[in-house]
Amino acid sequence: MAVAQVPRNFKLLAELEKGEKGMGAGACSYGLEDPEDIYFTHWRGTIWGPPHGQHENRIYELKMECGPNYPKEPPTIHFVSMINLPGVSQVDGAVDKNAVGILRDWTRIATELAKNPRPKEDPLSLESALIAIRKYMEEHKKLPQPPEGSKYPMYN
Amino acid sequence: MADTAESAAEAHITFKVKSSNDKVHTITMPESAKVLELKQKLATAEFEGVAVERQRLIYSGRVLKNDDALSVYKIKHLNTIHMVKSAASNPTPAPAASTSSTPAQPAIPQNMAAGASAGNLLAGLTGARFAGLANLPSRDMFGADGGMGAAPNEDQIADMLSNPAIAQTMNEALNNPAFVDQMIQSNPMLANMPNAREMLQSPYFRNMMTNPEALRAASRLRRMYEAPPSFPAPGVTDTTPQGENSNNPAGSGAVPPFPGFPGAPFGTGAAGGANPFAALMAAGANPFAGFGAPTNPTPSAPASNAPSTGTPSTGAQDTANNSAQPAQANPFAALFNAPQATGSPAAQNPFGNPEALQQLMQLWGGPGGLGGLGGAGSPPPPADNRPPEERYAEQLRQLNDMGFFDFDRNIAALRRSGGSVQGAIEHLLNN
Repeated sequence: MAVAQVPRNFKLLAELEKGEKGMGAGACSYGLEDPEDIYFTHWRGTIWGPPHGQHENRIYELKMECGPNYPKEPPTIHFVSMINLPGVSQVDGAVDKNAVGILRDWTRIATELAKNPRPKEDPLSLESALIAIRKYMEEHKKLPQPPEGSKYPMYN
Repeated sequence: MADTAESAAEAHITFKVKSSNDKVHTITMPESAKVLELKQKLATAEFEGVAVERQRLIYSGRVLKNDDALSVYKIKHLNTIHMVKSAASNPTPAPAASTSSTPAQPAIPQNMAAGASAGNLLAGLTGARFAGLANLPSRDMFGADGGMGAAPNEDQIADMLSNPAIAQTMNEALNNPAFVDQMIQSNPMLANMPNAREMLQSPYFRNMMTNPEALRAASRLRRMYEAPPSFPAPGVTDTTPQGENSNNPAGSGAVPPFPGFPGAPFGTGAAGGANPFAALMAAGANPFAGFGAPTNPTPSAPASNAPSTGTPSTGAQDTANNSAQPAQANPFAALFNAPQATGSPAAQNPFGNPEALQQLMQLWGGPGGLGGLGGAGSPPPPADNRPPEERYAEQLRQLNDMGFFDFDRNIAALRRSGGSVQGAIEHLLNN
């Protein structure tokens, strides 16, 4: 565990900095739920709804959790804002890993990356997960959506 | 940070605001200032000139609330707040709305698996949450690359249909009026056909869908359509190689008629583009094949063949004759005549009209025909003749992002997977 924790926290610190400085793609934003969380476990994210569909001009809030085995294991992601999207639980907004490619393949890609000591880019990050979810939303942009701003009851 | 909080009255914070058009403003404000004040500042012409109620500010994954002080969000020096504009025509309720627990509109399907079509009976089976559950077939069943590779051959399909359980499933599906309704509704061609229900429930159709013999006969026919010129159909003497396109998946509808059948009623053009039985095979690779197959109307060849001859045909000439006959007695006549309504001149005979044939094929294998199964009901994409690096540009980029840098291998894998990044990764990882 101690071996795994150092890269995990380094990586998450770098991700946090990227998120707070706004160096990402600009279609999502993310940061720590509690800025004092030294374990980088609980995160908040927002996705700007992709254009030309029901999601246009909406902001979706999510929460993400990075377990001790991140980045070997994917973060668990929940929508806080209500969304009508296959693979997203209507009870608590949980995103089914199998619905989003990068989450489904996360472990496999992580294993592959581990073999390659210096990958040019790191495809696995909270940001790439958010972007993949956004892309997935775009694929289902025609679905009717709950009123903007509504949240799953457990987050109210 | 604690230091600055202690002298909150005086403390100022400098941060950046990045707007959706990539303009970045650097702003310094007292930490005790409210978010609303920041928005008012941004609303001035000096900054964004966007009305306060249209601004949404996001920092570190959360939406800033008007009434909160900036200090609440613990914004660090020179960090970036994103500003997103909401639509002018659609003024969004103030963030206060986020605290109200408005129930979802009743129009929204509660069953999330319902996807685009709320009335889809198969929806319950297709939700992502069922992936990997025990009573669905394992991925082994789909063959190489999770079914993205070569389709199972017709013998496999026929064998599958020989399985009494599958035959029974299909019969039951066709006996279920709700299922038939859905089939008809999900398919514009069937929906426009007054006696579609009759046809779908006719014993002929049933036989065609469930009888492995009918299928084998159909596949014999298919082989005849796509036989290379060196293996002409029986009785054909003219083997001029002009139909060689028929195996090219990118073949356009303009391919000349098959040699040896001058003025033949069935052109090979569309058969080259999307072979009817290839589509059938693709449906067979689907875990819901038992359901998927009957959701579609008749395959072109057996439709004209099986019901009129009663026995599996062995000769292409035979088919030609059959399909050329007026088909009043044929329960599938309506199917073939349907395109006429659209003004297509050669619609009478689907074999002579690549367009009609293609339509039939789409009914068979196209995701549209499968309705909810595919989630998206889009028709198959048009033929793509661009070079691979262009055609797969997006997928290649994704593969690169994931750390696969070997261009040739990536292309090969994408080809193999039909452009699916998913399948390509699988291939790359397994080799």
